Amino acid sequence: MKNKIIGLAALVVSFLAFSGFFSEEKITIKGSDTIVILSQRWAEKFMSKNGGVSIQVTGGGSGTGISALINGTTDICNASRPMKKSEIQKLKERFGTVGVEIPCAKDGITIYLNPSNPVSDISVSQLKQIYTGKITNWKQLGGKDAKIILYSRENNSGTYVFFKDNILGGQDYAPSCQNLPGTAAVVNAVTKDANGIGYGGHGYSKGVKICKVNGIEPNKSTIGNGSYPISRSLFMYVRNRPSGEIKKFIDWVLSAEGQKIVTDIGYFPLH
Amino acid sequence: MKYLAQLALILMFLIMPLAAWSQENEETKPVSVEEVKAKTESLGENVAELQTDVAGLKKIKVSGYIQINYEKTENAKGLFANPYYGKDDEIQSRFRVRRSRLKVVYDGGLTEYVLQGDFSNGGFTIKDAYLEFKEPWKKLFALKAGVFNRPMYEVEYSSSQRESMERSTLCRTLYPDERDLGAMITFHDDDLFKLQLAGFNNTFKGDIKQPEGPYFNTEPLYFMARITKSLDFKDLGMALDFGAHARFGNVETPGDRKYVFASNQAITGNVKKTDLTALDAHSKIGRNWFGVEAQFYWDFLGGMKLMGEYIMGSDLNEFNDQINVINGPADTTKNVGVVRKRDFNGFYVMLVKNIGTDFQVAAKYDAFNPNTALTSDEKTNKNELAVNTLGFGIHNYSFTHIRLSLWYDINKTATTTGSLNPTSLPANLLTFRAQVKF
Repeated sequence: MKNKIIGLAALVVSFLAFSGFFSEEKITIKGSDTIVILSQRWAEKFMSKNGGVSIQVTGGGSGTGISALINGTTDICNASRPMKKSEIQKLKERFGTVGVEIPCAKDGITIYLNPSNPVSDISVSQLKQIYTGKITNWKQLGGKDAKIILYSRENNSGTYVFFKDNILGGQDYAPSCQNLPGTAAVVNAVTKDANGIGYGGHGYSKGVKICKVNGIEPNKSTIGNGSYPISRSLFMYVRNRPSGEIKKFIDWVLSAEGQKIVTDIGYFPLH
Repeated sequence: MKYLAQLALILMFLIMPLAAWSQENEETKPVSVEEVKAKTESLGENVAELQTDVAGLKKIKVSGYIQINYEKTENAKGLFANPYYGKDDEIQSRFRVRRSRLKVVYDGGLTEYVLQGDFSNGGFTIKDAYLEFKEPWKKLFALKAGVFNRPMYEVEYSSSQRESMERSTLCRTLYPDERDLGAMITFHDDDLFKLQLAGFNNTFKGDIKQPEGPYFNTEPLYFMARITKSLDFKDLGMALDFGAHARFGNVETPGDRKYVFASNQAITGNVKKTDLTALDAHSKIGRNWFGVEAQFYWDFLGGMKLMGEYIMGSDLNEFNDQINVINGPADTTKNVGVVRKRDFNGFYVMLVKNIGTDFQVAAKYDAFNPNTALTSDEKTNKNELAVNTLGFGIHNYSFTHIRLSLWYDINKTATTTGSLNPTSLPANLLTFRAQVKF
């Protein structure tokens, strides 16, 4: 009887182990909507140069990407914020690893205004007061007498979390703030709303007015030297030290060719 | 009748073009900019209202998991032939719904309300029912109150995640049913440490029926403390979590228990009264223990982890048997109730290795000695014999939300040449489990 049980166990183990060899290898990338355009461009270029490699890129937000990394449903996670300790803990529990963080570009969180808005410079403390609901009228910022309409990302967004932690000092957003699914939706809303204000990656700032923060405009120089007050790194995360095609792709992203695409898209290279 | 039907048909043909003309006319009617603006604003208001509703709903998170086991043993005494289960049902294989959990969490930011129930074979039972409140300033302190897991690593490590089919014998014996009713203060600073201080009611005594388990406890409160620290060595691809926990508290013995047997006394025949500690009615006796834990993680060929805990302390049994206690050489013997106070220790170690993202192999060894003061040969109660379990298995994660597991446990009781000849030897057990988690 004992032999039968051990035999059955060995059979099933062999079946399970053997079936793993037939799985198709492709690279999946999920996560930050801020990075999705950049990541898609990277993937297209890399695939055109490396036939036979398939890279699938989807957004959904940094939180979604990190969950996918923990659940094993993505190979690479794009994140516009660092992973939290609690998320690393989940990765440790499931895969026994602490993850590998790879900064892949720099970004300045850009404050979007409608082109018709006369306001062109807002301080960090004013931003905090605007998004926590203490400043509610453009008149208080030297603009017209109109209610400020707040647009933000949803809470699975790394940009949402970064803005909350670094600008709002961890305080909650004002209840009137409208949370939109994606930076493109925020830009679109501000483009159409003369009294709107939004924030997001610099690469999305088309059709909107870029507002200075503390008198400083986000550009390669101010983000590179850290003088723009809302600068951040953009990350790729993998579960294990990269190898094979994933390593090739990451090495290429960090190469001069990969970093040139960062500039083309509107973000800022690492060096 | 025939004419009526024809008339209706003719009328229908006449009315249809009229209706179409009317609709067309309406469509081509010019719409003012004000009307469009009003409609857009109205839609905007509706969307804003919907967003508020959706934002509220997003605070409610529903999750759960179901585990279906197929279990088979080669032991003729059946699946429960283990002294710590105390049953000899001669069932040698079966299907079983091990877990069927549904958890609802309302995440209000600083406050969290959690309700979790289990819908297994035995009916519905409440597992978690608690609220947690974080202080709003630094968010370092949290207060939890209700029914929740006791602060110990293996207890807090969810069954849906755990790589072995069951918790260690040690954990199941000391923390039956994992949860209890109480309150806990947690201090957690990622850069420093995590400290949990809790007080519990001893309301839930679990479903593991130990025939001589400490069910006589009427003492209302006991206390627990756990401290843990995490160290990450990212450059090396390693991490180490470690910590310690303790349990302090008395139990109150029933009035008919008169004496305490110490760990090092064999329970057999006539016992001299002078060798025992006399008890007053409703005496309080300590159930205290202390444990250490460590979890090591290493990004080695796909990731691995090594986990372990060791606990030692003092626990109690209530004896159903009446023992002969001799007052002195001239006295006759008399039957009295006794309580066994015993020193115990136990540990487990588990190694888990990932193979790609889809497979995971694991092995676990756990040992529990309910009475460390006597050798196996000196023991006269089968429930005090040491037991150990070696388990190993494989998990498959190929399908989203599903984990398939195959696990084999080899259970052993300490061998003895003494008078003890346990009739219920532990059963080796093969388990196939399908788990769905959402």
